[in-house]
Amino acid sequence: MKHGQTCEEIRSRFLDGLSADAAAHLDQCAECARAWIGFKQTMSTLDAWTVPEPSPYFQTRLWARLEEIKAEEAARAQGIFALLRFRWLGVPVWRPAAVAALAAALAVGLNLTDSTESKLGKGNTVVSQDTQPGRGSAVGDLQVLESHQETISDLDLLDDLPVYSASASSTQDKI
Amino acid sequence: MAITSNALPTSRRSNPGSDRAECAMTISRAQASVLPATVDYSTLQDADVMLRVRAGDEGAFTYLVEKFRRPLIGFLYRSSGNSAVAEELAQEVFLRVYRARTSYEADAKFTTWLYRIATNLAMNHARDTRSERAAHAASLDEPDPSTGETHDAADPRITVEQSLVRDERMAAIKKYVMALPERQRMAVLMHKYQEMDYRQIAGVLRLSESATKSLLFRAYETLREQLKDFV
Repeated sequence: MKHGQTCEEIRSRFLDGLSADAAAHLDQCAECARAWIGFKQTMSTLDAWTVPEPSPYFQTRLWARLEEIKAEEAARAQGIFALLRFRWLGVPVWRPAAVAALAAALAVGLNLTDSTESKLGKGNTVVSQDTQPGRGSAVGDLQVLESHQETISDLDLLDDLPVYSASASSTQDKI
Repeated sequence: MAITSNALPTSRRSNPGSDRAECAMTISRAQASVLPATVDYSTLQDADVMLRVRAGDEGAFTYLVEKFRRPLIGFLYRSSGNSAVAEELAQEVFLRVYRARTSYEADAKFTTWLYRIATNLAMNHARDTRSERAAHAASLDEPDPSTGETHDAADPRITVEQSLVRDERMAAIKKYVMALPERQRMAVLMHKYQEMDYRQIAGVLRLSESATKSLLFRAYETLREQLKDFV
């Protein structure tokens, strides 16, 4: 029997074992019969490839690396919340930080106003609809505080969160 | 009270796809915290055990490590040719499984996912070290660099000649399997040594089942020709 499509189909099914029609084909095709024997011998030869025993310290090393990952994940989970809830000498540190941020915003806003005035020149009578109050004026300060009122009220919500104290143990204060 | 698969309602076992989705919703992190400490994980599907890992069950992860440690190291040893590298890669596989636990979806068998991670790591390692790998002709007096073991011809059950033949055969198998194209090599290792079926191998290699079968057929035909002198 000539080597053709049928032989290739039969051989491609060697992986699934020898079916009845494949066995019948092998009875008539010496080439495929040799291929089948060669396939079985190859699979048997491959069995000789053994693997060494794993190291007895494999799991010890794995658990150590796992602890590092857990510590990283725990640190990441605490993150900014730990910083915001941290108290120094009984005072939430976020309060002075928030005040400093607002003061900086005020300073930037007023500086921009000042630079706008200097560009227009002193005594310039041009009045724009977006005229900003002068630097240090009470009206200007009140306007800035009013525009940040929502932010200030939201910050108060942090007082309700559990507290981290610098002197407390890590097991007492938790998220 | 041990949690076994028999504890699940019958309807949950009828449709594996929705079963696992329901299982995921059921085993929430809050519930895992009140589950009994002793669970017979061997009665659960690996995917369900992994869902418990996702829910925070550390014992479930330990179970998976102990179950898959040996076969995974064996797979990676045959793909890398080095036992130290195999263990390092196996550790990385487990650590990646752990890191990805919160996003695990049981839409395929756990072993398919596990070996996909392992295969990717093995193939990346092979590419990174291609220039360093060379065929090693081991002598009886030098330790095998891949295992650190010396070839012991003092076994009274076999003669020196038999030992040499055995070692030569082993070296040839390693050489020709490692020389196969990447995907053929991985397919052979999964099919022959991990005894995975076509569907699993196809899932790992992201091929169709017919393409996987064709891949394996070509690989074994190549090996049959190359190993014919060693049978």
